Amino acid sequence: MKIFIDTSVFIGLFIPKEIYHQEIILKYREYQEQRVPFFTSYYVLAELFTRLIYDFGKKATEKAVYEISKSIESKALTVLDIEEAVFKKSMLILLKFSEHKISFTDATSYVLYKDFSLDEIFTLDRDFKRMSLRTSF
Amino acid sequence: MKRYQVYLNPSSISVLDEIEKIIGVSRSKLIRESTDRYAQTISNIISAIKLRHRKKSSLDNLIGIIDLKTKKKTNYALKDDEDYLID
Repeated sequence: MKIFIDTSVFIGLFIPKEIYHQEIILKYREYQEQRVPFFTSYYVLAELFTRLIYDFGKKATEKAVYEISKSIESKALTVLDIEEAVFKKSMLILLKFSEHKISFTDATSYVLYKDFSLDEIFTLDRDFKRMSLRTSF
Repeated sequence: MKRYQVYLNPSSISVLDEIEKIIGVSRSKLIRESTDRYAQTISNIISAIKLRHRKKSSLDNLIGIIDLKTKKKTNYALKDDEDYLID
């Protein structure tokens, strides 16, 4: 089983005051019991770091950058690249699901999910369900 | 390097030939580079799958790293993307 982590889950995991924090931890522990590999993409991380710097400033972003880098180095998290072919397919997906107003990052995640036969998107975002992808919640 | 024989899509090859004319990088080099890149991505995925993940993972260190000084519950995770586009 291959799990793709989306921006919303990273944020929910970071902040204990988040309303879905406990649910995310429970699901994370469940995955961990199954020893599944976790994936994300450079676009998800770009979106995440932008949100962190806007909402919580330098100190919080520094912590997140440090811990995520450590997770990548230890191979607990694998980051997928958005190369030209993925980028081009994502433009078509963005237009295909235009009525749902998905973000371009979500479109790239959709393409990675399909291209690399990922099993679930670990997300709180309902847009992925609307695009008929399997999600954690 | 070794020599291989493969079937390729003619329309893709004509694009590569066009690129060769414009930037002077040979068709075979372009095919080699894109195959190498794709193989690298796939091998990253395979090694992530093969790795027996320990129960204690460095991802655990992400839990609770941002401590907000508020008593109220927050919902930053589902904050609308549009909020970040207002400059």
